[in-house]
Amino acid sequence: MSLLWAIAALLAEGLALLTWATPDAGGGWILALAAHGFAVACCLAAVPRPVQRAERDVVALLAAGLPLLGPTFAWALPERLRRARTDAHAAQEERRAAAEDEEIEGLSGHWLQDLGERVHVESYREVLRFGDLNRRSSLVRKLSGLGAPEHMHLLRECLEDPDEELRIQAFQQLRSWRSHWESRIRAAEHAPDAHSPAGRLAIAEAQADLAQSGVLDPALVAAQWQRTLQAAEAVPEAAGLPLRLRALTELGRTRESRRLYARVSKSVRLTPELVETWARLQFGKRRWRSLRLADRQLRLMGAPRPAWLQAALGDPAKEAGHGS
Amino acid sequence: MGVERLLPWRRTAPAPPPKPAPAKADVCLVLEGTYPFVMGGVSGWIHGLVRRLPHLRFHLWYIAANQEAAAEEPVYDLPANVTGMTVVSLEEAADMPRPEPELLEAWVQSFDRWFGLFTGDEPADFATVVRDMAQRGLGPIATDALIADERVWNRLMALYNQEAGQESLLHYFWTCVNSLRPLITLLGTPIPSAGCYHTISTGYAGLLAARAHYATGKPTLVTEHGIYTKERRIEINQAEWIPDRPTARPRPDRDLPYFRGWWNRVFAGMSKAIYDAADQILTIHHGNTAMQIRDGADPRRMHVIPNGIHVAPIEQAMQQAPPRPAGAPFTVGFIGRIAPIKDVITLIDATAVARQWIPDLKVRVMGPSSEDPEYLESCLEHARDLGLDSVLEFEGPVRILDVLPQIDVLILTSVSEAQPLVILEAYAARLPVISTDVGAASEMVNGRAGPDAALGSAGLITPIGSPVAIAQAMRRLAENPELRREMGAIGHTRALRFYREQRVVDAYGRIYAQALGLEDRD
Repeated sequence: MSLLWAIAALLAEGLALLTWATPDAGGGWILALAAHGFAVACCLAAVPRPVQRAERDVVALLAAGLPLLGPTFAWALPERLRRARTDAHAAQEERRAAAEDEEIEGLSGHWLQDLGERVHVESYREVLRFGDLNRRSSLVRKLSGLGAPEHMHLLRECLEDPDEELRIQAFQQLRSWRSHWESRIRAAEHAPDAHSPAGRLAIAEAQADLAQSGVLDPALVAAQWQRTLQAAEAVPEAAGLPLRLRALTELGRTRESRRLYARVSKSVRLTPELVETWARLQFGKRRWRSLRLADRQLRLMGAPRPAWLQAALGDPAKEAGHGS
Repeated sequence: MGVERLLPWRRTAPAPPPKPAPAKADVCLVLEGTYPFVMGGVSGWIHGLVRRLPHLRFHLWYIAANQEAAAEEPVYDLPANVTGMTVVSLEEAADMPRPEPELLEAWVQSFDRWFGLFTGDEPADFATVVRDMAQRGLGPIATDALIADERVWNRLMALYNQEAGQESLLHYFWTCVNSLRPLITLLGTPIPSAGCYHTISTGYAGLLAARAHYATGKPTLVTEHGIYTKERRIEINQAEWIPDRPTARPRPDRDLPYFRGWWNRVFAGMSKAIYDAADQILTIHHGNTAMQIRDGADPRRMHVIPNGIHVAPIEQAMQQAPPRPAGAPFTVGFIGRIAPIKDVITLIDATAVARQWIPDLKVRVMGPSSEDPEYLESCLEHARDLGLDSVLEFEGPVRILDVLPQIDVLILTSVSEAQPLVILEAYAARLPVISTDVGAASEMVNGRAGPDAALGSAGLITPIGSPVAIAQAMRRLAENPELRREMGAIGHTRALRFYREQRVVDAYGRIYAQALGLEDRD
């Protein structure tokens, strides 16, 4: 009989501990107290009567000791549990943030700043796949008018359209844009101040514009970034840094890019423009933590948050609430 | 040879009676922007055809784009069997006199009928229109005088209100005037006398030939190298000078803007007119036929007569040329005009990519550059930027018989072609070909079907504007001399079996004989 009481006492105490340890349990603490009281009662009931004094002392100690385990666990074990749950909560939030990031990534593409534009790009692609020749032809002209890299990529896709007429149109539009960017490079190279810091920066920027324009065949883009890098290296360090960072990252030389940024952030006063460039690189490479760091740096500088960063990271207040 | 220039701005009389040509020709070739005033593939084809049919007398009826072009001298030495030439300008004379009331009345009466040909969605009957105009004795008239007539103006305004009310009236008016002017000029011009009429394109030349057919009742042929309406559509759909109504956001679900649609309908109307009129609709490769049918050609009257090549002189030049020294660089030859349509820029890009794989690569770019000196300059700069000075060379015009023995592969990077003769010339020299997938190139390289396709590939086909694909093709041929020999042999066999020049001459000889009723005498 005593054994049964002892078992009941242990179960009751166990229930009390669990209830106590459960955070966000609302009024669970009342149940925990009740279970603990019941456990003490069970302990006392378990003591056989009549008993020897020595035995009674042992039982009394046990009966008194058992309830002491409660508070001990209540303060020790729940703390760990709480921490684990908090960590799980944070991980869950992290996952949710990552999911949001993925959603943004899926919606926005690489350098796309206007999330809504992506929707248009998809609808354009549908028309290019299924529209009749007049509509596709009309769209080719419109895409060229829009002129963003995403639209140039669509035009490049048209180069393999089954209809020769459309292929030629898309080709001519791409060629026209390419001539435009190349003439900008030549104008910068032949400008009277081509050898001044500003002139060199203009050359490097024109080279970068062509590289990121979307008009080049993907196989030629790396060579164009290489030319951009060379041009940017000819620019005095602070002014050419954003382009150098960009070119290095586009060329896949991320380690060099990081080292350069680290070196620069120590030796040169960071400018919002440089930090934003860095942030763009991190966004491009999907490095969300670095992106948030760059965002904080911008905030510390008092620089306005760019729209694309807002789209990528969401509301800063909400972000802070996530505990990231 | 008598050359009669019918330049409208030189006329003083409003409606001179049609002058007969000095000597009646067997064939009147109706030409626009080509032979004998412009050098090029189609011009060479016409020149060869005329020379190889010396028993026929030809009259050239040439449409020049403007007065300046109409006043130029031919760039070809015309063969002795060209008995006459009439040049007409699309540009209307600035000093056209005010028309006589009868002439104006006749034009106004017929205006409604032929205007619908080019602006309405329904195909109209050009035959009836032309016969009606012939009966009324319509001669040249100033467009302004015609449009200024109240009835014509009301007709234009009715159409405007009916289908273009949202567009700018100013744009509508000038689009009408600009599209009507050349049509009115051509519909009023005298018709040279000939046994049959053969136009080498649709468009304005096709319209004249159709008009000649209905007015004279003589047989008419049309041969298309490139498809005129396709080329015009490409131009029109991208033209900056055609006004579009601004919209807040681009609407991919919308059809062509109104004025672009208008111009397309005008050119489609002209093509339809000659397709309806022609006794035979000829083209040079099967890829064109689908587009011709789409534009209204009757498949029962369509035939394909591919271009041909005279193989012997090239074979002889190859045999007489000294053998290429061992260890000579792998040489790729581009032979053609240095013009945007040939896409030399992509060739330069491809060279930059290919030289990473082919250390001894040499690319020779050969051909005239006078057409677009600015483009040549951009090509040279681009090659310099890519550091290709030692790899790529621009050589200007060359004699093809001298060049073919010195190259390993012929390359063609054009974005648009009909049936490039240079591919056949490479075949005659047993050279493999790398070509973009344009016009008949794929058909020529891989064979069309049956025994032609069974011969195998005489080269490699790549997409347009794709330097990497072209560079890969260069690499494949550079690394496989045996493949080059094999492809060269296939090309040579293909040229001999399917692209002999004599076949083309014989085919046209028969067609002309049939049209002229000379078959029995042959």
